[in-house]
Amino acid sequence: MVDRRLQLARAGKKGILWGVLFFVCLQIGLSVAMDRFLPILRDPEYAYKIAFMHEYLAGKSNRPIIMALGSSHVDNGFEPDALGLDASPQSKDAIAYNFGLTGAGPLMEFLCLKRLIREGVRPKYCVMEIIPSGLTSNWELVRINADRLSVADFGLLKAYIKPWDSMVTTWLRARLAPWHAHRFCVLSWVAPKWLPSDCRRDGWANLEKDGWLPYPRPTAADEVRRKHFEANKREYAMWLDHFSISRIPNESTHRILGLCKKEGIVPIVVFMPQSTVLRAPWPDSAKTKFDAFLGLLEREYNAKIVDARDWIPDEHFADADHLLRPGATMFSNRLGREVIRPLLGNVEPDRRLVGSIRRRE
Amino acid sequence: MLFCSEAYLVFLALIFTVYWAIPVPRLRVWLLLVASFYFYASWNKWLACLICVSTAMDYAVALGMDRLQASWKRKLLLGLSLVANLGLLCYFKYANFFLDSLDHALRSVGATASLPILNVILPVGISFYTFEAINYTVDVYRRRIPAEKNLANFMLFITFFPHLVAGPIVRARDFLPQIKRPKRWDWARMQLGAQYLLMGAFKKMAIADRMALYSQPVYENPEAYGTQAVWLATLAFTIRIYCDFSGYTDMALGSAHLLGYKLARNFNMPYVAANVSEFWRRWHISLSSWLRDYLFIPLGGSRGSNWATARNLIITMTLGGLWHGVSWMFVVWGLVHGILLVVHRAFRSFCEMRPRLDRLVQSIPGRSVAVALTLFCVMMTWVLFYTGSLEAESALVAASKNAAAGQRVQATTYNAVKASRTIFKRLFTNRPGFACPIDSVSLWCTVALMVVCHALAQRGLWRKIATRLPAPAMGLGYALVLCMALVLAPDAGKAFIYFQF
Repeated sequence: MVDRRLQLARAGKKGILWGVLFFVCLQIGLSVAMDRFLPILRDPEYAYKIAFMHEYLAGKSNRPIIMALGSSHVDNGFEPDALGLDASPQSKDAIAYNFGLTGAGPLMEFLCLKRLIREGVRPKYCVMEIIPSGLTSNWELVRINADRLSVADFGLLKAYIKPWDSMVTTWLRARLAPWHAHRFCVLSWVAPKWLPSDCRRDGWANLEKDGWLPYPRPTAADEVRRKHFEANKREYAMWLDHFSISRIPNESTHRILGLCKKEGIVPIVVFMPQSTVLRAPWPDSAKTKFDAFLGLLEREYNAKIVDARDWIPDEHFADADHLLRPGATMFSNRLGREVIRPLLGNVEPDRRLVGSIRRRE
Repeated sequence: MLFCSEAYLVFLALIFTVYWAIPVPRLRVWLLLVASFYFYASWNKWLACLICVSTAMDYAVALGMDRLQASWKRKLLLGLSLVANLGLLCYFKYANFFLDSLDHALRSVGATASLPILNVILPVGISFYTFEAINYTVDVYRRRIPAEKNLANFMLFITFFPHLVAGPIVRARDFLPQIKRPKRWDWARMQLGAQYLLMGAFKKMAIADRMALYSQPVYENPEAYGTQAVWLATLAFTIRIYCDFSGYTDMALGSAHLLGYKLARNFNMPYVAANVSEFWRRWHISLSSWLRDYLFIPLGGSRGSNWATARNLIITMTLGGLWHGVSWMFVVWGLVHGILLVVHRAFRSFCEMRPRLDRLVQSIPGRSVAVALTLFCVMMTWVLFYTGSLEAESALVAASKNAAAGQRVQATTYNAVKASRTIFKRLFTNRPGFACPIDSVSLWCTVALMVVCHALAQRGLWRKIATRLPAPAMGLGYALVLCMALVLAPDAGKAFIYFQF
């Protein structure tokens, strides 16, 4: 009887200890796998973009690459096929790829470019979005989904975050139980039908082969567009009145352009199209500061500044600043014709397109 | 603090560590008491005071009954305890419900009355701890157990956090002796506790919350969905309520085992029951045995005529239905189960007089048909239960808005009767509508898993397999079960269904 109890006690102890050990190993295993081999379990948007990119660029490594970086504005609005470049395998023309990421600002653009260079992808040209309103606050630190970051990404961000910041604590908590924190990514990869549609993370499987993610609906109802315009108008007025460039967007813009300079990448800074509601006249103080900022970028990094904010009429927007398909084609056509193709032909783009806000207002 | 939350995990880990580090048994009791009050106060600080006061009153009443000899004085004290406990239950749980029902009834006959609106918060677990208090005072009155002299021990019996908010309804005679028994660290018991916790977490997160993805959208808006979606939602809810409640109970049992306490099992594979009577011996065992011992038997039980037994069964089950929540649909649910029990008794008597029929019913095919029929009846009654619980939730929201406004500005937005009627029409006639809100593959996988697990458990194969498995294989099994529970949990975790009772 005593032997039996001892036996059970020993079996119980071993069972629990082995269980703890295997559980810890499974957590660490998933964490390492997410960082090194399976980014789809951590950042599915990036993983799909990189997978599609490798497939698209396969056999075209001798051609100059034009990489578009930015937020969902770029994701929806930059159509590589509409730039007027010959993407066929036999061509020697430059090849463009859309690497826009939802919610990305200059910090995520910098991270993205670093990741691409780590992957061995060195674009010749980098079309990068700047959102004027996004320069006025450290919004990216709040907006960045910490779960998407790898250990290496944190190394790049350490200049901007303190150990006790919520981004760090969120990331650490997720890494303590990655099977739970990344469950939607795991299930979207292995069993997407087990998830309700709003939890699925495999929507980027619908990307075009060149990385473009067209706006999901073909049109936007006028009423919906009007409501978005009203909301954005109020938000826009607030930051314009108190315009000043915050530390993190300023530093990260300099870092990404510095990286371009170091790697020999030609930076093309683009203000993506906006609807009329976001094109209110700027106060003089805002214009002066912004002009100074752009001037510095031009002088230090030889950045080409493209102000495309008024290129597209309102009916081609889904809301205040996301383009519908026709709008994306229109924008990309014009960008290709007036900026990209001249640059490829070593011709400086028309000065009317570039330069300060003061000249345009 | 939900059992399947980080906060509870941290809380349990902390209490567990400190508990076993303390060598003095009395200090351990005080630690558990403080932890239990903290656990309850995390829901609402003021209601933690309420449970303190009601527990102290029951303690004093029981001591009084123990010391007194005069039968009328003891009866008086028992009456005081019953009135106080049931009064608390009625006030906090049913007052607004009865006032709203009265208001609705008056309006329907064209009369109006300025009925008060009570701003009451439903204390979590009140249905459970009042029943525990009642079972204690009644047992002391019947001299089945002596009154507990130590207030801390008695308070721990009522407020012990694993069973505090959603049962099982613990009997004083089972729990109080455990408090006094010395506790020794036992790895086998720790493993058992860990197994219960894992099983409970898996049932709750991977199964119950997932089944809610199928059932909730359909039952909230049944007119929009077609027949197939409604059938799948009903099947999903049948699985959900079992895994939700038994999952909670498993986590309660596991937490108790880790602290050296044993709570009674509350479920015993109810869906393999061959009749409704057996179902209630396997489902929410602590409640059904409480109703049997403290309601059915005092009413006369089955000692009288068939009509008296039928009456007692129906009263017991109807009140049992009302216990579940503030909706007349729960009363109907209880009533239907009462009728089913009466029908089963009659059928059993009928079979007993016909040996060939009796043999057929007891045969394997006969039992299989019986199990299928019982499961079908139970599934249909869950339609009433679920619509009742959605109505009760909606009533709570309306009650708090009305209390804030000081008048009846909002009626309950969900009509359980209308929803039940719509659902039954869709179940038994072919109606078009939306398909299931999410692909049914995970539902069918869950059904298959449950069939396999039940089959293994019925044959005792779990125990045989478990004792033969080497420790690394057991450990890997634990780790995989926990990882699966973590991966399969859908979005925001849902509160346990029985928390609202």
